[in-house]
Amino acid sequence: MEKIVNYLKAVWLGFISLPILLVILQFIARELYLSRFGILITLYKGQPIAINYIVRWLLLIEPESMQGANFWAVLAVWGIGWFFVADWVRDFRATMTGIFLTYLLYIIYLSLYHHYSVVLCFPENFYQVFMGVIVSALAHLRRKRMGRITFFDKLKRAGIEVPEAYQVDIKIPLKCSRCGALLLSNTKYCWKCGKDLEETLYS
Amino acid sequence: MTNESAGEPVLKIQNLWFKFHGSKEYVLKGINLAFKKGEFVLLIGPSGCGKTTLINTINGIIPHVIEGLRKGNVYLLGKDVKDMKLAEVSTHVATVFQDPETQFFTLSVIDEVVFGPENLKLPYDEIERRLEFAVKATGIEDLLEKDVMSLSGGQKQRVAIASAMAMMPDILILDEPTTNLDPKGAAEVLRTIANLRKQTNALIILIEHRLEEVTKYADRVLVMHNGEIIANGPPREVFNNPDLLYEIGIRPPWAAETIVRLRKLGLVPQDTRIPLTPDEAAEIIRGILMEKLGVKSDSQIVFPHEEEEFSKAINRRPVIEINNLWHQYPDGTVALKGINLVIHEGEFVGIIGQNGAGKTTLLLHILGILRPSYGEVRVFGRNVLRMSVGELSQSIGLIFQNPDLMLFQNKVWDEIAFGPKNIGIHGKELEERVKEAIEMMRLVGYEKRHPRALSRGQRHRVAVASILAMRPKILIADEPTTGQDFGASRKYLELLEKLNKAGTTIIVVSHDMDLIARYAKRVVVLKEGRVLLDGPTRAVFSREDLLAETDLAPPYVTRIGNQLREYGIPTVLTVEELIFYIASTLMGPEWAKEKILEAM
Repeated sequence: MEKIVNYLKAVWLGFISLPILLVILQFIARELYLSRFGILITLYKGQPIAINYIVRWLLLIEPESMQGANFWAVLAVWGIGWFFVADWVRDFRATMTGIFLTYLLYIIYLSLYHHYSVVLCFPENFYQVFMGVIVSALAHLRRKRMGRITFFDKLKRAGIEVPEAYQVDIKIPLKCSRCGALLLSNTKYCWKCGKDLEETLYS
Repeated sequence: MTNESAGEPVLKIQNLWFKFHGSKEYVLKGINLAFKKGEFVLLIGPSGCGKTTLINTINGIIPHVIEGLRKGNVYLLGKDVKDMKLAEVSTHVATVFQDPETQFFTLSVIDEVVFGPENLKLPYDEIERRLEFAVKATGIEDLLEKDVMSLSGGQKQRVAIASAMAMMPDILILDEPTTNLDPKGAAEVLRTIANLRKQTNALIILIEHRLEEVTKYADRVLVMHNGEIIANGPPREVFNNPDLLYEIGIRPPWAAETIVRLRKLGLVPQDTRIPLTPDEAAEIIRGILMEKLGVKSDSQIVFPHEEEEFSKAINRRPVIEINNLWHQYPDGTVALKGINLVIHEGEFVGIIGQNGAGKTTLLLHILGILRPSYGEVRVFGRNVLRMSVGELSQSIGLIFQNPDLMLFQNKVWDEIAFGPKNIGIHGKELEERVKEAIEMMRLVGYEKRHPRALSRGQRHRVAVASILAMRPKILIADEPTTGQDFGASRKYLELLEKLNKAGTTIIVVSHDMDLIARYAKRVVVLKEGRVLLDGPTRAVFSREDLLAETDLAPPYVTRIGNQLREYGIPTVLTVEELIFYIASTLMGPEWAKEKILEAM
């Protein structure tokens, strides 16, 4: 079940996050007047851009998206997007599948919904996919080297030490180690004999 | 002034009547009172009896801000308040209200304390002298440089009192200053009030429900009911008649009530002095027990039937399972630190703890409003985060502290029908559910009334009915008795008890130990995000030493009983139990049963 969820998560996140990321990049470009430096100018034309245009750029099938700064912007979007997706999904196969399925879904979307005849050329229209694959692999390696960051790791980083025993799930109900009283929580003291249970409860 | 030197009253109220515009009935009905400087007067009475209206006639809010029909006179240092300007009145009378935040104008404590004197355009030296006096009287030396909003509830209230004291008033009025505070904050404020007695010669008028803590300081107690003063005298005299207080919905101090009841049964001499503190009461009873039984020392904690009852819970299905629940707020505060807790069907659980112990955070997790940082909460075996709002609302009902926050429809019927309608219930079933809730909450005849036009008790019942119509299996009440007098609180808890007996699981979060002791069957004590103690109510309240770790204390009646443990008195939760065990020890259980039933 968890595997299936990972696959769905990867496809869904990829499919949704890339266009959003591209729009955000455009917005930043406009706000920071990056057009002065010729960056992303062709992506932003002073008008709200239709989603099918954005998808065409993402697939590198629009002539202008293959040019200069735009080409690098699209590559950046695929790189950043899939890095975060890979980091979140934490399943290499699911992320790889997500990349290819996202690509496929974009083509289906353009063809069926907008009746756009998509013609793909190799490798020109696949650079961004290579970028996605490389970045996902790097994210996966990085995660593997770092290990999983738990809530307790975060607390530790913030200077809050939690004894390891507290991090372990315990099964309720319990019994007091001294008097055998029934305990319906991980209480510090036994309600019957008053014994301090901190040590025994977690041992 | 001559008034003071001659011992003349600093405040005199003569035949005072008052009613608000548009109201038919008088709120104050012929009040006659006189107060001397240096007196400490405790004003008590049920909610809505006119206490706040009375103090508003003293501090000039009536008639200068709130208008109405006022007859009679309020003489402040010989001058009628209505003939004085409000600014002039405020140099003589200072008032501290329930919520200190409503009184703050500035950001730092020091600015807040000197705000009043600065506005009087006093010379710098005088402001400094007053600051020193107010700070010393309230003990806030270490808070002076702090931001007022960063203080705890108790500290804020002490700053509010200091600001009032800096005005060097002739009269200081404290209107339920501990109502919104947790036990620790309340104790802090009450200690400050006690200290004020030594530090100032002002007349202090205190309105307070926590009688145990304040009666020992009071020179005089005024009991108000329906706009009239029905008792006026020294505390030992007024509390000599606890039945009168019960009749009007006020709970007398346990110490006084215990001795009066024992006196009625003939178990203590008729001339026994009325005690004002649990220690005094325990001392009197110990004397009687010692006389009859001799010195005993085999001190033991006894729980007659609790263990068996507590163990039975495990046979029922768990309704709430909390597994290693941690919660960290965005500001970094870790509010819950690995809570593991199971609540079974049909339990009546009281959750207690100081502010910041994690009570509300825990409730928000049970309601699925907060997402755990780690761990999970399961309701009826399902993770709350995977339950829809509709599903959750049918499983758990939350009754807010303030019922008014839950009422927004124009008719009682619509209010109760709102919830079920939202989960797709219509037609006959909707009608059936609403009718059932109305009958259960004794609201028949009020169906077409506007909910806001009802009394507070009735509004509370409408709020509960609107939850009951959802037929939740778990009912959570967050601080249900705040701001209510004993009578109203008791009625409300009796209602919850009735629902519990019908099978609903009840969880009550409260600072009111008396009510928790009387109604809850299990108590969970939280301290700094962890469970400190969890067990049958009697067992938990027998552990005064462990509760003290989180600055909590059992109810006063339990404390009296705990002091008599060496005479075989088990931990008691109500005054009836205490009387019964004392009577049984002295005269035998049969006699005790017969006499107590007779007395009831």
